[in-house]
Amino acid sequence: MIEITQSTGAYYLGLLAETEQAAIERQIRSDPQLRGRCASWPNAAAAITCGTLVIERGRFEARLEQRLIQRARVARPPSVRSHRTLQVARRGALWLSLVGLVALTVVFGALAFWPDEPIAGRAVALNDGGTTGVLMPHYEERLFALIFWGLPELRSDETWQLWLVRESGAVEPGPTFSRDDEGRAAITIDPHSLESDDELIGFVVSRDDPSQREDGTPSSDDILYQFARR
Amino acid sequence: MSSPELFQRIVDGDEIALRDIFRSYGPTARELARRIIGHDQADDVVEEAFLLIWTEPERWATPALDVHVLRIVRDLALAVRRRGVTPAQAALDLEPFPISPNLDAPDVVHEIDQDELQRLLLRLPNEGGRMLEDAWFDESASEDEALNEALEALVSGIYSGHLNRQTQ
Repeated sequence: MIEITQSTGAYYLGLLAETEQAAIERQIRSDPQLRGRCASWPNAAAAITCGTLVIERGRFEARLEQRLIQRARVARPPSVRSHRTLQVARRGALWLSLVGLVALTVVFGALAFWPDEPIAGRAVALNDGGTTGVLMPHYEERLFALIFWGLPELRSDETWQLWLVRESGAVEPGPTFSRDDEGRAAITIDPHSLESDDELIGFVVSRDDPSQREDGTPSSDDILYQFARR
Repeated sequence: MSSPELFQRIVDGDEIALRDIFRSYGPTARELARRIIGHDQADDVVEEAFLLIWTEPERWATPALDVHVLRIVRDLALAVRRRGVTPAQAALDLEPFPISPNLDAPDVVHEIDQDELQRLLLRLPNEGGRMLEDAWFDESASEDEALNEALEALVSGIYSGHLNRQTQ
């Protein structure tokens, strides 16, 4: 039987001071037999949680999941779409290309009309269904502007809702807006209203039924996209 | 979906996989955070833990996502309590636990019967269950040898098969 160093259990439970912790870690790494004997101790430590607490198995509140996903998109933009969304993406690819061409035409058209006013806009596909948006952070030096094409039609009791995502993960409601008959919309925001110690890091667009909101958070999981501000 | 597949999807940047692990382990992670720092900051701790895994999955996790999620949440919550900082600040200084878990062990959240596990902890000799609980949630140190014995007994119980959900 391999002798377990006295403080091994305390090490796996994270109870040791830094120097002692480093010494035990070296010992575990250099001794394959000891490592093998303690291989499941990290699992056992985690199991203490499940053997002690009463866990409600219900689904997490949607707003928490939504907040996590919004922050995750900014921290590390997703690079893979699921098989479910890939199918939709294929169907929407042709439509998206057409909308993209229109969007680029309009952006370049806008640049031509404001030659002295640099516009840091970029066209972004907001979903797989053909909705495209352009974020113009320096439009007329005073306003943030967001322009959308291809917005799907909503029910009469819904609006489009812009949300402001802060670095802390807080999500504040921005303006609501409607699309025109051809699915287009434009929003401007006074940048002074965006100033805060909690830095603005992105925007989210979602379908929103104002009557269903709770605590000022979005009422819908159906988020189109998050624009990273930078 | 198996844990290695799910973990690989996180590594590949599949947002749906992030949702899946959040739904799978989030409720347990939240109870753990609440037990350590109370309701007010628990959700923020859980969020930071999942963000760490999402942003650097190969640094913070392996396919044993159950173990990593709970370990990160526990260490983060204790750091918040000990240092009086926000979960986001604590996450900046946190380091992953350096020894990888056993990838062949059952998932502690989904594959082990929680009631049986609770009974096992209560039956551990010399109040081993209480010792482990105090160490895990409150960083309370007990006599080294007793902690080692309690952990060994817990591992032995987990591998005995009596705790597996599918055998119930």
